Amino acid sequence: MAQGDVRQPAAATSLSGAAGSMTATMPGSTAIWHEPTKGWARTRYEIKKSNKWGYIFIAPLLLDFLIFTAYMVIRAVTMSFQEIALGSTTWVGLTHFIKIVKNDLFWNAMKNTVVYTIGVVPGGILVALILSELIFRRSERAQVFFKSAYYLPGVVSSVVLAIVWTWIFQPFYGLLNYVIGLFGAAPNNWLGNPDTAMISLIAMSIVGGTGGSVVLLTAAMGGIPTDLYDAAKIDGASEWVRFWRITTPLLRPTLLYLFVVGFIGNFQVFDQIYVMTQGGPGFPGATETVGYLIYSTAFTSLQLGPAAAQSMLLFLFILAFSFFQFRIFASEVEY
Amino acid sequence: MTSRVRIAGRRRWELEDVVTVIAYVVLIVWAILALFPIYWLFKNSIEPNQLLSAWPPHVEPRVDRWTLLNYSKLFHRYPIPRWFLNSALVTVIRTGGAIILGSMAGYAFAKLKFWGREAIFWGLMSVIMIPHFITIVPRYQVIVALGWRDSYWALIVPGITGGIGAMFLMRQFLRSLPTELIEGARIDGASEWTIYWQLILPLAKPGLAVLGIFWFMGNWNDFLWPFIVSFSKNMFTLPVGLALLTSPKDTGQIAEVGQQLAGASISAIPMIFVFLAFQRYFLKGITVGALKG
Repeated sequence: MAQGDVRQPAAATSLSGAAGSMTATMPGSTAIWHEPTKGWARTRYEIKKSNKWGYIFIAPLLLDFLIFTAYMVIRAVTMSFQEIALGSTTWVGLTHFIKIVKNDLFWNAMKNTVVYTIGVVPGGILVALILSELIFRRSERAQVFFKSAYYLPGVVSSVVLAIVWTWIFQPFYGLLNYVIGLFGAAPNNWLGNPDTAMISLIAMSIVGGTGGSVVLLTAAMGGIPTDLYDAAKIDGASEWVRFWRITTPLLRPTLLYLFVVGFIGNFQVFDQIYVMTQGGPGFPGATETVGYLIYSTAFTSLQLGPAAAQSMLLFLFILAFSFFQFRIFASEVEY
Repeated sequence: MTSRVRIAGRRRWELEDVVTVIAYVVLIVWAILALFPIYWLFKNSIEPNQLLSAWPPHVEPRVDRWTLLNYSKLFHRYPIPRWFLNSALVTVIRTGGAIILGSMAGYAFAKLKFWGREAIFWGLMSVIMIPHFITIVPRYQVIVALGWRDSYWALIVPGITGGIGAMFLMRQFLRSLPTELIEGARIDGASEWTIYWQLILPLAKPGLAVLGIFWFMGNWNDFLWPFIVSFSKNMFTLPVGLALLTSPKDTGQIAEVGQQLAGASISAIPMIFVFLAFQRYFLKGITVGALKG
């Protein structure tokens, strides 16, 4: 609000206390100089002047949001401090949080989630960056072909991909064992072996997930002015130097977006885990992620309070990682 | 000096040639990696289940053995048409909701002046980092309390407006429209609803197309929420049903792999068609698509 507006007409000052007379200044009136600039009168004036249809237009979204998001977040916060049994709830303070923080299962799930996310997001982005650089200078046709090929697995349900990949990873008849057998490697029970289950899931997610990143990165590459490259070429910079010193820094906003959105999404991985490994193999489960742990705590063990507390901690981790990424990307800009 | 430049030029040309070849090799290998699972899915769904346990596996299609046996067995054992219709119903209504209600909100936040607009907008935006898992437990409780468990209400209503993502996408899209257009219509005496319905919506078509395509995809493929709120087999959507095929919970035995792949193909085919039909929208690179949720 224009609180320090020196050009404020004298008439407005005299009116600003008398909110009642503001009815005279309705939209359509030409008396603009009646506009109060300060405090409650200004608020009253703005409410009056508001386009009421604005509220009607946002009403459905607001209702949806207030009921199914805002209210649910408040409930979840409350639940995380409560013990919820059939028909009764007791306030237990920080008990759930303390138990979770001391629980090895939770930290195992956290570790798995972090390993999965760090494998899929930076790994996937690196692959996408290389592919984008390789695609970028090809013909329009080749670009469309390759981008479509990389994008296609991303449009089908994660459950569908999980089903096919389970079969590819299958220990006796799976294609992967056949292929590595051609190179003389011994067959492996990819999803059944605690040492390879997680890496298999990561590989599957990277292979199916580069399309979106490649599309965004090549679009951003198209926005880099070519004279930068010409100048670098004249200065004798090699392809490699040009890629790392020009392309990558200028892609920073896109990379930041891919990192943040990728971390938020992959921290919540669930579908593949449920279909392919159910958090296993072994105990504590080699692929049990926080999302899967929350699901099984809430819907298998029916411990709603602890599940809510776990989801709070998941949120804190997501916030911390996002903050960290913003810091990294922001600080590097100023070199 | 001249000769050195010339030699450098020639070497460079050869080097670039090699680089191009390597580039194509890498691109093609990755394309095969990405597409192969999709091929494997369809190929094995139309070949007899016994062929799946042949060793070595047949990478090439066995056209002579093509059959729809997996599909007929699957249809015999599970209510596939029902799952398909459930998925279609939920997807169409929710996508329609996102298109209409999301664009209404986006339009209001972009172009209408009302008190508290920016505060409400940023209030909404502040929660986009909150994970799904926070709201899912209380949502489930509330759905149970409403008596909506195992019903279409539970599948359709929460998030029917397309959420913050749909609003944000439309707001960004509509912000670039000239405000004079709206002012002009107002002076001509058009009501606010008429302006939205007859002026804004037609102008917003490219934005609405993006919204529609991405929300269609998201809803069709959504797994976690329908999985949590549907219990009876008749209320499953396709992804939930597919997960059932892979679990022994139903009949004590998982479905044959051929049947699983047939079911997965049924879920994948509509999305692949949508992708091919609207390819250019997917390949344009729309950042907000990932903001959903």
